[in-house]
Parts: sequence; C-alpha cells; structure tokens
Amino acid sequence: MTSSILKKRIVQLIIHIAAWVCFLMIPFVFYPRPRDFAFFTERYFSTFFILNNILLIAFYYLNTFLFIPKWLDKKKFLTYGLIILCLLIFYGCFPRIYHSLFGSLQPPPPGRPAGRPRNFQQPLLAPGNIAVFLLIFVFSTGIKVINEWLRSEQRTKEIANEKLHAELSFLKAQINPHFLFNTLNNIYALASSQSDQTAPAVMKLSSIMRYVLTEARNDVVPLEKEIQFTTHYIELQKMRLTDKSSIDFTIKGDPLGRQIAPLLLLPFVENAFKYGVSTRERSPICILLEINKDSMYFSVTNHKHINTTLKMADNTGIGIHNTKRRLDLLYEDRYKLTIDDGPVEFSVHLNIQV
Amino acid sequence: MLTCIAIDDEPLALEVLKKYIAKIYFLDLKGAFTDPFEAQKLMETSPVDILFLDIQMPDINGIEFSVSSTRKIQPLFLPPPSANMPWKVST
Repeated sequence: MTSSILKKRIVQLIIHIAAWVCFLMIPFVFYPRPRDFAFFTERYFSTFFILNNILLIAFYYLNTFLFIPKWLDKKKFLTYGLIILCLLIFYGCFPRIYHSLFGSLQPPPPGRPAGRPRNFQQPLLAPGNIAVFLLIFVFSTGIKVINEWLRSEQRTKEIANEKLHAELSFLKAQINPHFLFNTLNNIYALASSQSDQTAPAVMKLSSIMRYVLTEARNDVVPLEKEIQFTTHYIELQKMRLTDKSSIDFTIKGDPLGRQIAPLLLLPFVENAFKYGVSTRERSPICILLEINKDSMYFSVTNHKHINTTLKMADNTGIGIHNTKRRLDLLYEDRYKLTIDDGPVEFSVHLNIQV
Repeated sequence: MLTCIAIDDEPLALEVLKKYIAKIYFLDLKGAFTDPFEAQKLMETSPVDILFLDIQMPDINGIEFSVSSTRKIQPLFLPPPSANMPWKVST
C-alpha cells in the first residue's frame, strides 16, 4: 500500500521534472538561426535567465499548494485575483528591476568603463514575461480546477450509489424478511382479536413503506418527516416487545424547517432493537434527539444481551458501517460519531451540523 | 389429551398461538411464555408432551433451547412468518 503510494509519488516527481526541463528548453529550441548562445555565458544573461525561471517555478508551486487551497477553494475570489494580479505585475516588471539592480554585470561595450549600467532601458512591463506568467497561471489553476471537478463528479456518483445501497439494504434486510412480515403477523394478531390498535398499526406500516419508497429517494428530507418515520418504526417495533423492554424516545427542540439525509437515524435504532432486547432481563432502550440552533444530537443507548440467534446469520455492525460511510460522503467533517461499546451498555452518539 | 407449552418472544404472536391451540380439543395448554427460561422452569416440575417453540428469539435460539431442555419431548418449531414453507413437525 505505502510502496504503491511512494511509486506514484516518484512517477509524479519525474513527470514534473521532465515537464519543467521541456518548458525551459523552449526558448533554446525556437531561438532564431543562426544560433549563437555565446551571450548566455555572460553572467548578466545567465543569472537573469535562472532567476526569471526560478520565480516562475516558485509561482507554479505556490499557486498550486498555497494560493488555491487558501483562497480559491474557499471562494475568496477577490483576494485570490488581487494576489495573482500583483504577482503578474511584479513578474512583468522583473526584467526592469533586474536591470536596475544588476545592470552593472553587463559587459561594457567597447570604449566604456565597466561597472556602470549601459544606457539601455528594459520596458517597464516585459510582454514576454507577462505571456509566460499567464501561461503558467492558466496551466496550474486549470489542472487544479479540472481535478476538483473530476473529484466532485466522482463524489456525486458515490453518494448516489451509497444511497441506493442504503435503500436496497433497508428493503432487503429489514423490511423484507424480519420487520415487514413480523409486523404483518402482529397486525394479523391484532385483527384476529378485533383490537382497536389494528387500524393505527396498518396506517403506521403504510406510512413507513411510503417514506422508504418515495421520500428516501431525495437527497435531503424535512427533519420532521424523518422523525415521524422513526417514531412509527419504533411504535411498530414496540408491538413485538414484552414488558421487560421499555423504549424511551425523547425529542427536544423544534425540527421545523430543518433538513436531514433520509434513513440516517434508522440503522442506530434498528441496531438497538436487534441487540438490546431481551425477554429475560430488563432491557431499556433510550433514544434521544436534540435539535439545537445549528446542530443536531442523536443518541441511542441499550443494554447488551447475548444473542444466539444473530450469531447464526451475523451481520453485526454492517448497518452502522454503511451509515458511517454515508455520513462521510454527505457530511464530511460536519459530523461526529462516537460509539461507546461498554461491557453492559452500548451507545451511539451522533452530532451533525445541520 | 396431550399437554403442551407455547413459547414465542413476541406477545402478539403468542396470543395467536394460544388461540389456535384452544381450538384443538385434544391439546391442553399448560403455559404460554415469552421467556423460554420461564418455560424451562415449568417443564422441570411438570413435563409436557408437546412444545410449540419459536426459532428466532432474542435471548436463545429455539433450536438450541430444544436441544438443551427437551430430551423427552418432540419440539414443534414455528418457522418465522417470513419463511416460505408450511409448518411441519421436526424431531
């Protein structure tokens, strides 16, 4: 793994060096014939050539690694533009500046004393330098912009894939064999005893199905809808529990007008019902959702029980792993997930800036 | 008359099972439990002929439970509602 990264780095380095060598060769290749490079042996010219190009190379790397991440990426276009303009003017003036500083290095023309600048003026702004500077600027910024564009394209694709995957895994793993049929079985039990709870249970199941099949396709959904979905899910799950288990679902704050990625909270709730339920021991499940001004805190705490059924067809933590992946893609560094896997209690804490 | 016990971790499913058992005249339901370990206690003091047993339960798998506690009787496994097969007696 590390050696392949190292290899990639070395290849990159070679490409950079080769590109710069080619670039520096251009003036020599296109030098008009008859080619006489004698002037290049003069210190005045060679020093100028070297300094001029070092500045250009320095600008390329400064732009790529400092200016772009610091200003362009953060959308500070004005600052970035001003910096580039200043550097452009400086670089354009560089031959003039060089001349006034090191003009004395020029070999004296015959019949003049050494040590004094020749009476030769460089133009204030050298058009050649400006053209080359702009070329390098377009090149370095262009590479960065294209890279960025490709990366965001890739990310959009990945997010779409992950969402599809979450949708599918919900339908396949949860709704299909366990949750859906168990709930239908429970509704059957309610109906056969002509319970008053039958109608609300059917309503809740239908609202859950509608949410998964329609709303969950969107990138974000109103937080109230996600809460309503989670509430219905918890209420349906409650029908399956004995009085040994108790569910405490608390919502603090106002969800109105807030948005969240769909089906984000469900895997944590599902996990609690999978591992935190017992018919033998007391098994409380505590779910808390706190909506603050610019963030949201969600936590699920349950007791741990030895579960032999799940050892058979184990898919421990896959739901949570997938959610973590989704969080990475959707919220990047705007979320914090802590999993507290203690000896007795298991708890997850999720903080999202929404 | 055959004596029996019903075990299912879901209270509502257990109610349905109780109803079915009540409909069969030769079955005498000695107890219905959501906790298999409670059922085990009863079986130790008064053995039964038939055990109606759920497979997927949170604390112990029905098959494991039957191996550990029901040597003399034949458990009748209740497949999960999602299983696409008719109920049958297994020995």
